[in-house]
Amino acid sequence: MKILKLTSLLAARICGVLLLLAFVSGLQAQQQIEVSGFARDPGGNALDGVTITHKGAGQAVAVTKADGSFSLQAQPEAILVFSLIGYGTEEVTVSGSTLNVVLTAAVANLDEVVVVGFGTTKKVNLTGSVASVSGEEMAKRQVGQSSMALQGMVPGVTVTQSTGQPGVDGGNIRVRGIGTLNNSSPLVLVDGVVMSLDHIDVTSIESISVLKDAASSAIYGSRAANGVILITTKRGREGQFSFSYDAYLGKQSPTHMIKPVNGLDHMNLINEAHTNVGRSPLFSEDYIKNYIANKDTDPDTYPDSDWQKALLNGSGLQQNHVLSVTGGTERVKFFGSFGYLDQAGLIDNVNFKRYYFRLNTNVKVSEKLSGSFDLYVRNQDRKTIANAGPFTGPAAFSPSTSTGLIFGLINKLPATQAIRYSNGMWAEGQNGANPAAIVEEGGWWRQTSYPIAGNFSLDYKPFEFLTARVAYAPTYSQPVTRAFNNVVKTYDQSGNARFSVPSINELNENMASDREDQLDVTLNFTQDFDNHAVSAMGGYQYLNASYRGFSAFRDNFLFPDYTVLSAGSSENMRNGGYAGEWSLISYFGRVNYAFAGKYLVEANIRHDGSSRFAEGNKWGTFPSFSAGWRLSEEAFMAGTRSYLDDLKIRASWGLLGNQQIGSDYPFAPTVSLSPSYISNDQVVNGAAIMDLANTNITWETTEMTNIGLDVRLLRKLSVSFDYYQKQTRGILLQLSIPKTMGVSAPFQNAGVVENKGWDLQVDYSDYSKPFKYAVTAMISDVRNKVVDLKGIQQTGTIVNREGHPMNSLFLLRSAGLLSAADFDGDGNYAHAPTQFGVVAPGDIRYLDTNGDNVVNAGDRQVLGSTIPRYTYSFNIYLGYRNFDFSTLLQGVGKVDGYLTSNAINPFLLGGTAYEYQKDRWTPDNPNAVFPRFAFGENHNTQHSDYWMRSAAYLRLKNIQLGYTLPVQLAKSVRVQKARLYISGENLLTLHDFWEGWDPEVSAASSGSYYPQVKTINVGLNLKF
Amino acid sequence: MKRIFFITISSLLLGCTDQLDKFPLDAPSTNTFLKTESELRAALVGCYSPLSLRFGENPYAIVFDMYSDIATNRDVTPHSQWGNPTASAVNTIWNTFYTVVARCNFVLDNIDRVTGASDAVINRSRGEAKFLRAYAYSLLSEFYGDVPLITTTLDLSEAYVSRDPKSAVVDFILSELNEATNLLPATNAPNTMGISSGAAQALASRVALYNGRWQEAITASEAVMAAEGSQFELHPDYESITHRQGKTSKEIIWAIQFNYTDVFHETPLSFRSRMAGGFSNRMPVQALIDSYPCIDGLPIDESPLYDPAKPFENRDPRLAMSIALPGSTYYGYQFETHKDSLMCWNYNVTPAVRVANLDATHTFASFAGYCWRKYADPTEEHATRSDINPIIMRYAEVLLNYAEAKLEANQLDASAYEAINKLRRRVGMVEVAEGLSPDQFRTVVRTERKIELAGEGVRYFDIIRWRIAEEVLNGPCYGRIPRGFLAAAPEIDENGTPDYANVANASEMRVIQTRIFNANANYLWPIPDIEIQTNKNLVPNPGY
Repeated sequence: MKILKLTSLLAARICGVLLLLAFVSGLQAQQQIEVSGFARDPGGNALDGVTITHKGAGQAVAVTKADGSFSLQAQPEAILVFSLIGYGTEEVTVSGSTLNVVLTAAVANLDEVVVVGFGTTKKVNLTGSVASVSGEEMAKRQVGQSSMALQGMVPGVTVTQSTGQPGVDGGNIRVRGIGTLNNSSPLVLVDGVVMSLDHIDVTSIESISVLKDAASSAIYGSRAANGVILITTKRGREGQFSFSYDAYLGKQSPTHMIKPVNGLDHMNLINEAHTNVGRSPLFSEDYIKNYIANKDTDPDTYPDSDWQKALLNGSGLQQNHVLSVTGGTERVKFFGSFGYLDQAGLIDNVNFKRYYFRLNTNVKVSEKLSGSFDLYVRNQDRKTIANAGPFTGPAAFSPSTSTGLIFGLINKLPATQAIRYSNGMWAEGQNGANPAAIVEEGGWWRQTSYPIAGNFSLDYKPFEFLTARVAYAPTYSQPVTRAFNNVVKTYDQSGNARFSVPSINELNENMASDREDQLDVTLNFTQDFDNHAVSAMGGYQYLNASYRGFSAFRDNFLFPDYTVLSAGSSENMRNGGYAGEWSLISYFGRVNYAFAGKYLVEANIRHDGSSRFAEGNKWGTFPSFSAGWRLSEEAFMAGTRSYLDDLKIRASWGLLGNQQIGSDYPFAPTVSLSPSYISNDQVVNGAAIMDLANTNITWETTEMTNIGLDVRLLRKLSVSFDYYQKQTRGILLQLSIPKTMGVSAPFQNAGVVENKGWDLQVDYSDYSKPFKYAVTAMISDVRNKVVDLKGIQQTGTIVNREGHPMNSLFLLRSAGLLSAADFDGDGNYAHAPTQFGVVAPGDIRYLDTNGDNVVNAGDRQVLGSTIPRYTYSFNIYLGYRNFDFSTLLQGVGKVDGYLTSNAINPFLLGGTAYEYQKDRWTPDNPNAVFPRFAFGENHNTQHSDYWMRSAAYLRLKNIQLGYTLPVQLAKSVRVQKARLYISGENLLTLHDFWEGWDPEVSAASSGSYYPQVKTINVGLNLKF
Repeated sequence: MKRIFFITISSLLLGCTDQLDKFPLDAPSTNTFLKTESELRAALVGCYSPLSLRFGENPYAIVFDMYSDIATNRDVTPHSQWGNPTASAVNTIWNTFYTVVARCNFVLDNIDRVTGASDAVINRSRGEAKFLRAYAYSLLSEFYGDVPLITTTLDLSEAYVSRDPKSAVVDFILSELNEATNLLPATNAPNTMGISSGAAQALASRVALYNGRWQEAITASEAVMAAEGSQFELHPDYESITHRQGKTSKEIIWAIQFNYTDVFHETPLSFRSRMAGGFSNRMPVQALIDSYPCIDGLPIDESPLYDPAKPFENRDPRLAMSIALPGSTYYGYQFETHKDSLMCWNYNVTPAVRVANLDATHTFASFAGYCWRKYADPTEEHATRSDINPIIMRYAEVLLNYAEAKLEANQLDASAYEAINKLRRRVGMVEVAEGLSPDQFRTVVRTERKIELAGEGVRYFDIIRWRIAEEVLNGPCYGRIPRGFLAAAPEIDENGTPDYANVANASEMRVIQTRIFNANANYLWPIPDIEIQTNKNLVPNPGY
């Protein structure tokens, strides 16, 4: 709350100063007449936010209000320019004191400006492949992490989400496939500075540009190989003072949950699984009889637990509030925003809170000198279940997160296990791993951070054609991670202590301090000579990052409510620390040339030096060229002008680099000081060379060619198509070396990966009638292929192998289930080749694909791909009078999913079975989906295509219905604009994947993950 | 203004290149490694470090018994753990012990660069590295057969090695151990990292025995036996050797080191009964119980002292010392696994009280009806923290090695009988009288080995080298009859293995799992699949 007070105080002060400035500049207007009027669309609807400028002057003199009205001072005969994004520009000469202006909608505004690397350009002049999304579109989504708002918004950009856990429910963003086996995430720059898209609230985004091809992104050279996403935050506009409040409140629930069998089924089925493989039944007939008779009256002895119901009792509520003020005069403009997000989890003790404060300020010192001063401060607080570590033994699996442990257990534990006895004591779960007890009593993991990002720039414009700019952006953060693992005590029915996990409670604290400094110096030249338009840009960039941290540990906290280090025992206290740094230095330049607005040429070059490589390999050079031809401007096309607004073909070629390969010192062979051993009950520290080093490694290089076509017809339809080929060479790989070397493999510039694909976007809209509509459809495909891995063949379930897509599924080929006819009279398997392990009718038949008469690991083949193909979306907007409706449908046309562990192996390691697994092979059910139950046998759980299914899906990502108060009514409550809406996220998913599983779950999943969520929200947008 | 820009830009552009020289801040470079005595010591710790390897709760050495006929991991069959080239144990053992080899090679290749260390330190270090490398090769060659014999640090260009015959590997191990013996100190300090010359000889005795090199086994065993009384001796209390109290016992020749706070294991969690707060999912099985002879030295199918109604009476005392038997006290509870024993005594409180008996009613109480006492020490407070050092070699094994080598070398004499009788005397068993035929003596020594070393990770190697795995690892693996005892003693064969065919109520025994062992393939483990894929010079083992 303190922050809120401080912010509003600060904002008030700033407002005061700025208002004064505005007043002063207003006095300067002389000999002018008062002009007022309305701006409307052809349907007569008021247009809000239309910017009005004097022709030839850049500064806005007025902006229309929500009812379309405006008033301004102007000299008679002055020409005023009315413009609004999404509408054609109108020029009107002042002839009297009233002006009524009609603006015609144009979805594909030919004057539309897009943000590109180190500058902006008109969309029609683009020669590369750049897609842009407005902040307005993004803000339609009610998501905690902004990356999810990008899903389905840009063709060629794939966003996948693997969990809905608050705070980590962001998506993985891939631009045009996966180009490298290393970090394939695009470079995300917020106002030119590296920052995660998830660290910024969607409401503060003005626009997003995605630079997809090499020509557009080569100006970012070494960091651009995976695409670049440029985010521009909102800034103040001259004359447009407003205050707005946007909020929504919603409730989350899981998209999918697997349905486990009930207690009685569990017992009967597990007995079947035992007797099928010659084991004694686990539950005796007497016990089952007693169970049936007594489960309702004596649930302590004969439990029939519903673990999902017991655990999924978090409120799942989420709320988001954003307050912003914006305004400006000729000299000072500002945008200030304060936001608060609070997401509660589906289970208790999992939540996420974020506050942020942003102030973007522009100051014009003189006609030649101007500057900007931006500050972004955030407070993030993520809480989740305590570290899973102590429970991985009892639970018999190792989830990647602590919520993964909880959901893994929820999905695994049989209904016959009690949760909590009637005397209030926790039951033992699986050997002391009782998810309900862990959530409630096991402690917590918590990370708080207060990142601060500043962005300061000075622009000096000595001549109209030349701008010099220096920008400095420091980013600083100090995440503090604290984890308290408390002892979870479980009991038997009579109240005797059973397990205590972990045996001693412990607290780990980790404090890090990360700092990144970025300095940009650029010089921009732009001049038109007759039909020749020339612009050039040169620059220098220096980036330095350093990090340092330490950790501390104590255990044996006698009072578990007091979780500071000094409250623990000093007997076994420990600490540790780490530090590192890296830097990049770059020189870059760009030249644009356009002839008569028809022929467009652009060249870029960037020369990058990275500290991540050894002397002699530090520097890399990344050039690119692109050209465009606007056919529609040609004289011979004159006849088409009435319907063809624009027709352009584009082509580009370029090289890009990548130096992000996991380690900051991949070239440096070091001696690890981590090995230790025990002597005389004391730890002794050792040293060993853990991996081979390779001082010869250098940049990964991506070569990319793109051709594109843009067409706009009838001011309503626009089509944009791109085809590209992308090849990444010198991929830094840890190629498997023989394990007999006893060290980990070094990185080598070895791999070659190719991506070929296309993106298509079609927009059709008509805002000119009372019934407005807009439809955007996009589809893109990428075919990924590993071209060269130096002959090294990876093995495992998910592999990279030459000639196949990356992350392919490497599996045995199955051919249905074995039947009794496959066995001789003694029950022995009657055919060659032999199969795995103990086989019987109802087991999976594997094929001997390599013909060596043995079915084994050598028979595995690449049978599926986990890289999504044919990603598509439909974005539909409908508006009538005061109602608006929009929906986003998003999907993947082709991808393979795969399940492992308990998902395919009923009763594995203390687990139960799922309803869908009941359709198993028995002599009476020979055409079953599932093989026979075989406890403890691994024949059926070999990684095979039997467990692979299409994970293609179509999701109703967002659906929203809004109502805007009529202007008169709004006025009566003193607001400019008020809109109420109701929306839903992820409400419906169509797929053919396994029942109860979300198709977006990462391949080879065992079910130990926090599920994706669907949410229903009500929201409010207010503008004063 | 312009000037400021120029100054800023030129100073940045000129002064920048040093900014790209960044080196790790937290670890030294390899170029200078291994020059001082303290670095040498650290490098040796690095050689030992992989030995802290655990498979789940258990140190690796203990796990090997669960691949054999005397014990089980409830959830998985032995074959599924190592019977295919992608199995985790197959990869883990290979990777871990080749890591030991590589680190030892590095020390031995670079030890000459060390300055300022005394000859004693250099010799001992060299001896330790040679010993550890030999130990690693002994496991690798026993599991995989022919393995690449790498004795120096290889460069990537030399990495694509091929397999060397097992006999060459064994030659190397034995000659290295011979050298190590001369370099290592005689002092046995079992609760430390250090290794004695006796450990090198004990390992030589084992490796020679495993490979039928009887004379070498006898010689090496005799060298250890010569230090009996000074460095090595039988611990008077058999039960406590594998408990905390035994950590410093002179019987232990070499053990993997653990402590309570830094590097510990969780064996008690997997071994203890349900009442004692364990999972009891790793346990001894019925076949081991029935292998213990009666106190008169006769197998249970021959001894008049065996009473099927009271099957645990009059048995070799090591049975009750090694295994928690129904009716005994275990961690302060009455350990009772008869399914109708719904209540049991809790002696941890005074006066004792009757409580609900989970070892009878819990769905996952020990399937066998027995639990290990070895490596489950009731004085340890937490099931999840144990600092008991798993024994790799103890003096009793050397005596057994000696007796067996003498037999197989046709040198059966009083000293061989004495080696066995020392073990029997310690636990109050009747001694073996001289005059047995070689076959009779073989039965005695094999049975003695099975029960003396049960639960210590040796049994698997014995059934492999005796080629009896196909008999003892095929078919059902039994636990006790849930509501009773066997009607009669099973037939005990010449290797001490029980056969239940003649027991009337054998079908009532709980089948914990059904096992398979393919004699055409499974006497060797497969070479890991990833290794075959990576290194085309490696030929897979037959049958995989």
